[in-house]
Amino acid sequence: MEDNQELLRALSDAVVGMDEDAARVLAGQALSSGLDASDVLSRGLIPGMKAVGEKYEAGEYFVPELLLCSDALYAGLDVLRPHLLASQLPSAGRVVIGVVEGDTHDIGKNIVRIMLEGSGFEVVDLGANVPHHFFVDAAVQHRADIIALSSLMATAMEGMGAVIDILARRGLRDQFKVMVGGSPVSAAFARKIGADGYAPNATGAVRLAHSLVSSSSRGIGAAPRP
Amino acid sequence: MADLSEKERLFRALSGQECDRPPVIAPGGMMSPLTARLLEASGLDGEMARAGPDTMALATVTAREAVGLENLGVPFCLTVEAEALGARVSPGTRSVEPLVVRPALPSAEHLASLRLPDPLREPRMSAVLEAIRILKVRYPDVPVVGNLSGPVTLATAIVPTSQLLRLLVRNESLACDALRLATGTIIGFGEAMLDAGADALVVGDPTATGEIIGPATFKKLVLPQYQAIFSAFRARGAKSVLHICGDVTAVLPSIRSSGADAFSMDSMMSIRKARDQLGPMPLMGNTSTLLLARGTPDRVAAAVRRALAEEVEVYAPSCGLDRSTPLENLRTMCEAVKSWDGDGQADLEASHERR
Ligand code: B12
Ligand SMILES: [Zn+2]
Repeated sequence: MEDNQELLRALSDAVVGMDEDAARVLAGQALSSGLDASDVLSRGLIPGMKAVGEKYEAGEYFVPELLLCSDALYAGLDVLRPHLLASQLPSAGRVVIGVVEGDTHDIGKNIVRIMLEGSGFEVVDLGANVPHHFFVDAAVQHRADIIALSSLMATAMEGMGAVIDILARRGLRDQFKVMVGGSPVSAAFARKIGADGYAPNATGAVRLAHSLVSSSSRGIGAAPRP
Repeated sequence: MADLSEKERLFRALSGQECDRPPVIAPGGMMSPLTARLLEASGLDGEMARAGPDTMALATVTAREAVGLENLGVPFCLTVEAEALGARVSPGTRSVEPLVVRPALPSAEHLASLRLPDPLREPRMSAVLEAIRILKVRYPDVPVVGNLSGPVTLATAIVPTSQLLRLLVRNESLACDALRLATGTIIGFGEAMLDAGADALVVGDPTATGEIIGPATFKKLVLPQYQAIFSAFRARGAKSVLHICGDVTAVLPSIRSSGADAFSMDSMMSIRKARDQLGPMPLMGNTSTLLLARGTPDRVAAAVRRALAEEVEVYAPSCGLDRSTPLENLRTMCEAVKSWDGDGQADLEASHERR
């Protein structure tokens, strides 16, 4: 049991240490030592990615480090995946994410995606410069819980409201939570367009996503800044 | 000193010499002054990546005359060097600037297949050079600014952004190969701009922001590129400006030793705090482009006066203008600089109260 603790800690450290090979090997070792794949994920890889997020917010890690940590996370996840029964998959929920039409800034969106995946969400990434109705089509197709909209441009940001209008027009507004973010976006803007929440950064986005899926009732308004 | 020409004033300001007041410019390139209204007014469709020399000259002259800017400058985006190296570019519309839509290479492994472009033969580069020559003949007393892409931004048009960012930490030598190719391209194009008569060069490097690359990586891998670029321009006797977007607090020490004559900064940076770190380096900036797009003329004038009260050497917007920016705000901005009486005490007090 203690050995298992050690292994899980080492796996978490491999993610924090950007060590793809170690993450792969340690995930395999954890499985062969009899640990359950979903435990390896939730007690090894996910805590590692959480620590990475903290280092990023603290200004210790920057975008390059974060990308390399996420490579280690995915390497470990690839080893676990065949052993995770679909029913066992500890999915926190499903998110459709993208950068709204008119904007190609995708670095922040990629970070939010990585942190969501690192905390147990399944994420469908639509990329950048995404036409408004694509978000709705993809959310329906993938039966998403959350639609996450990113924009760094004040002009493109207005399109976030258009996505919500399309949802309303198709009678789908109650089926999905909508969260918004990006540097010009604010909680006030989120409220104005009728989004369900706003977060100023990736760790805030993760907290917000968890609270959105767990809140069964709608109409909570934009979440306060964490 | 009241009879300084616009060219002399900008030159003095960039040299840290005293002036009657700061010049007011919008250099061009990623800090382009073109707005949808200006493009419409000059009858241009906004496909600036396809524009020939006459169209480019017309666009910058229109911008200058419509609002009162004290410079001319070409090109109007960050895609010229990228396209010359093989990236795919969308040409732009009145409301969206030209953008890199696909980098030149799928992977850095293929870097050896690229050659340094020859600015005199490469079509987009030579069109920019011709535009500079046209402007110099017609406007001998107005400073003509040559605008260049920065090495990090250009490197992310050579190989995919996320790959370049990983290489900066994982494989320094490959990252450096990409950065050096970018640097060589920038130096070659910049020197050709000087040969064509450019009076100053502005290098814009949004992707080098301190928010994306940490200070250690910046100092080790990015700073040497700036030093190579600016020492090459300095050797030619040229004045050059570095612009990096966003919060650059963490990389100010590197910016100080970049060799650029002046630093142009975003509105989120305090001029006073930056000056503590940058010493005698002249500063350019820095009214929020969002305020210029959405604010009332009164608020624009107040923001301009605040920047002047903080003794910015060259007055300019903080970054690229939003294409929806109203002309009235830009006129107000230029007018506020030209009518500056040098007394900013009231403006500073007002801004402190607000904070
Ligand atoms: C890097 C950059 C670029 C790169 C983009 C590379 C890429 N692949 O993304 C390049 C060079 C290509 C570029 C181009 C342009 N850019 Co630019 N760019 C930037 C810059 C410097 C940094 C953006 C960044 O990546 N930051 C780092 C990431 C990690 O932070 P972030 O994106 O904010 O994301 C965090 C949060 O916002 C949040 N978040 C993000 N998305 C979401 C989503 C949800 C749901 C949630 C909850 C949270 C969330 O979490 C993230 C992680 O913590 C900014 C300046 C700035 N300070 O923002 C300008 C900036 C965004 N660019 C700007 C402009 C105008 C442009 C251009 C039009 C040309 C120009 N003049 O610069 C072009 C064209 C863009 C287009 N039409 O698509 C302006 C936008 C102005 C505005 N607000 O309208 C800015 C603000 C610069 C400025 N001061 O004017 N740019
Ligand atoms: Zn900028």
